[in-house]
Amino acid sequence: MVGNRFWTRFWQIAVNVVLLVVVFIFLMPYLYMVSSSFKEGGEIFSIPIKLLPQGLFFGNYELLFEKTNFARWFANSVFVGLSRTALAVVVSVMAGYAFAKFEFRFKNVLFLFVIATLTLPIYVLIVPLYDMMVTLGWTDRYVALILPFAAQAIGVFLARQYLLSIPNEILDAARVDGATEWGVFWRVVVPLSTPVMAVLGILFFTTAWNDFIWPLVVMTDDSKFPVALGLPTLLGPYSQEYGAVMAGSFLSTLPIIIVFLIAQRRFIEALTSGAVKG
Amino acid sequence: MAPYLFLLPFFLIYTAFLVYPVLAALRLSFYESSGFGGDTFTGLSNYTRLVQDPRYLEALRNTTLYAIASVFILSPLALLVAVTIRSFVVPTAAFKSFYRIVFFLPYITSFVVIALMFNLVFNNDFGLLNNALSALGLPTLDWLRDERVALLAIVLVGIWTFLGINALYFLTGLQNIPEEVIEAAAVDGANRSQTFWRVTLPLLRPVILFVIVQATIFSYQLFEIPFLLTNGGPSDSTLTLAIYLYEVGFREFDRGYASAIGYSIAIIAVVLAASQLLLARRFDR
Amino acid sequence: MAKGLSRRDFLRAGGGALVGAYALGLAGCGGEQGGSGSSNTLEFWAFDEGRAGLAQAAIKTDAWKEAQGDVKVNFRIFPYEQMHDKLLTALVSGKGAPDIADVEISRFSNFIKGNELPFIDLTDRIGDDINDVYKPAATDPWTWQDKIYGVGNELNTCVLAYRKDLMDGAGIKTPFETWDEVVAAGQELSNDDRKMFALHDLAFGDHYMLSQSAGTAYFDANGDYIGDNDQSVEAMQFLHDMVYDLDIAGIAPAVASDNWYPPQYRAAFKAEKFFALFGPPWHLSFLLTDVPAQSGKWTVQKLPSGLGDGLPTANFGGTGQCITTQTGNADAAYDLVRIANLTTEGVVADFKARTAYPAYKPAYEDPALQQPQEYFGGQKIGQIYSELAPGLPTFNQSPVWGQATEALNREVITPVMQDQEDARSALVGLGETIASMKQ
Repeated sequence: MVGNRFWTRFWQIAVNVVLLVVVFIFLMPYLYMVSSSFKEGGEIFSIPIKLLPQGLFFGNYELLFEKTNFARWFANSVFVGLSRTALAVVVSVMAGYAFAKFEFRFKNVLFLFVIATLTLPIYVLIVPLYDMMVTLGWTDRYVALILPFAAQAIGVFLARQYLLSIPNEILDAARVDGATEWGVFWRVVVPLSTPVMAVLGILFFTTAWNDFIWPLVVMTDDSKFPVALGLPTLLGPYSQEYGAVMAGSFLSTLPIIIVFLIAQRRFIEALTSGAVKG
Repeated sequence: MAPYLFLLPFFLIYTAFLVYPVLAALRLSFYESSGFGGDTFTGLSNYTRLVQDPRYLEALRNTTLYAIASVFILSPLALLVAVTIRSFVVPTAAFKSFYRIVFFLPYITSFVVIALMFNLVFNNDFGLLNNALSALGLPTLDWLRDERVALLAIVLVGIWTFLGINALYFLTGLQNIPEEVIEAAAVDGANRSQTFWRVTLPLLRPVILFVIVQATIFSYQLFEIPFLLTNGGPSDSTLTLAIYLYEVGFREFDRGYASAIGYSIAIIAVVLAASQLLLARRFDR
Repeated sequence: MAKGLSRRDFLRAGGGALVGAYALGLAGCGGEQGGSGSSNTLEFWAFDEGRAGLAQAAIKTDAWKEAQGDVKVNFRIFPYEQMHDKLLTALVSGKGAPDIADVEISRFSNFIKGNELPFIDLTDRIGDDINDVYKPAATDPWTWQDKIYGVGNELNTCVLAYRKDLMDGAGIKTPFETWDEVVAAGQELSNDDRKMFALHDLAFGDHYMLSQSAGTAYFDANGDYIGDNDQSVEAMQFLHDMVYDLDIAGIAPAVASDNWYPPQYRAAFKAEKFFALFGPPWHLSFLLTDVPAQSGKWTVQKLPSGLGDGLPTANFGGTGQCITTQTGNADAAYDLVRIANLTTEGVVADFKARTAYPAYKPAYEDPALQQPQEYFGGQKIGQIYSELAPGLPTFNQSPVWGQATEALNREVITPVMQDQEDARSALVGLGETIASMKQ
């Protein structure tokens, strides 16, 4: 039917125009951030406002790399983010597997307890946790950023939901072939879990990358700061380096976007294959 | 033995770094612990103080308004976006993937960066938003300093930040609905909107529930966006429970009371989530 | 606490096992242990590069080299809010605090709750040096129950500053004797595009200054709230009226996270949206750095009379160096505080670095502080400040000071300056809020 095809086209164009406007609104703050990073000194706050910089000014980037520890902060964030993510993903999948595929005493109670802790804001925990770090001598050490938040309830929850959808027969077949429980996990469960591992990977990596309050409390040596903690230190009553902060924000957002672009297909795949079945 | 060994690494870390501080905070919530020096046991008085504290009630009100917006504005919007992207009106896979990525970007952007960007967007004199509004001939608002609209500004940033992840949850739910079910409905003569309301939506129920429950839980922990953008102001109009907890614990230095606020947040979230689940179960029958 | 110790030992053992099992080698990457306890290294926390410069200049002096030359000082700089929060956490838990920290005047109150203070009493160490400082700026804010816990170096004598070129151009007689004259000048020169003052609606500073000039304060010497008296109400009402009735002021462009003089505030002065202000030296300093084009056009004078008692100055802001009880070398820490704040050599170095006018009296004899200032049309600013300094009102610290001023912002400044509440009822209402705070 010609009329039907016409209306299909009409709706496609109309809705996509609306969506593209929304996309533009969504991206606007990023454009603002990028353009500000190329503005010189007071240009960001000039009256009247100018959206585009008058010329490409690289001084903010120079300042960032020459006068601040930015490169080091960046490396710290990469190291901490990758270590914490790797540890947290493995630990979550192991625990999620136990909750999904085994029967044991107190299973439901344990699981509910883990989920319930999700509702507690972490700010309650900061002082006792800091106390512990001091006792252990872990302040100003990367381990304080990696270990304490490597056990994430949301990770266990999502891994369990995903692993529920793996048929028991596959596991039993491996057991019949003489594999140990450990062998079943590494040779069968882990390969089948790559999609959910991608989800957890993105989730944990972004949380670690963007973490602010906790690193602030435990880290003092500015050469060990992660980038999210380092950037705001450039702003203060006597140093108004908005341009440099914007440049740093832009550079520190980039890797997250790249990680997401690489992992996103897996990410969607995992979510669709049942990671959130409710 | 196997299940316990698989649980062991998680629970070792979990017990050491989460359960212990959680219990330490619980103990503290029954003590008067303010200032330097010893703590004294005061029973439930930190909890009874909550209901008489006007700032706590103000924070509860603001947080609840934000949670309501999350459930009734953000979640339906996310569903709308997901359904639109999934439907025939977005024709190619490349377009679908493009929209997905753009909407998801804010979720992976750090709050510090979000706050810096939106400080510029909402600025009364230089801000992008007011410049756009006045270009369109609309009245401008002092978004972050007018107590009547500051919470709205926070809700807008909340929607901007969390729309993508919630849309993604819905997208996955939609993708899990077998094509045959939709086709069967079409064969039975249902038009697109009938199919949506009578087939798609009911099948999406578990995902809707998941989205609403997690939106509620996380709304009650809202901290970074208002903390960095408005610092809870002006005049407490964007004060949230988590910011109040932080202020009481770190500024007023009343750790016992701060712990009680923390537990009250957990209790509210658990109760709300449980009633949402119960309500959903009742609808099932 | 034997019980606590055994719990901690347990944690250490458990944590050690965890590290062994999971993060082999990671702990090694952490580097050396924080060295705040060792006696030949001092840790110094600050929230501002410029402020840290005060101590950095001190360790370059001969006095320091002579006294503690082999002691190394590590400086750590964090954002304002975060540094104070972090300091509090470290002091509560009993470990990890620096030897010396910059503590801002309104944050000090958080540290004097409870019966033990986390800072060292400096009263005896300061001794007779106390006679050489302007106490309201140097020690009052860090004094609690007659003991001094910190020393500051900024003389926060508030003045009125304005564009003299504009006044002269309009034939207005300056300096101003009364606020009425100021208002008349403001009305003459203000228009839709340009106002005289930028008054804050998110920060209490404007009212704090004017109410002191009117002869009052927020707390009396007994720590009781007196912010609802007539002088205080008059000051608040005047601020409101300047915006809404007299049309000589606009609302200062500022944001909650940076509520006094953020870049947009400075940009507004640069764009000539405002042409006068009242504030302490640290506030005025932005003109020199951010508005260089108006050099020579500004002038400074004492606060006019006509508001309450009409005192010529007020005391606003300040940061002090406090020594924590966790220090491993109190002697070296105090030497640093003393040389930075209580020697001419130290404070003049700071003055040269960031034009901070010292609270240390003898320094005003130094030629550097006698210099005429080109920016303010050749006025001898040091002299003006030191003449006003003896008139600085005393400052009464209170354990609820920080909380009370935050409540003041919330319940009085914002609603009144946004024309939503009457000045008197707001200030009276604040009294009830403060009464309910824990002393």
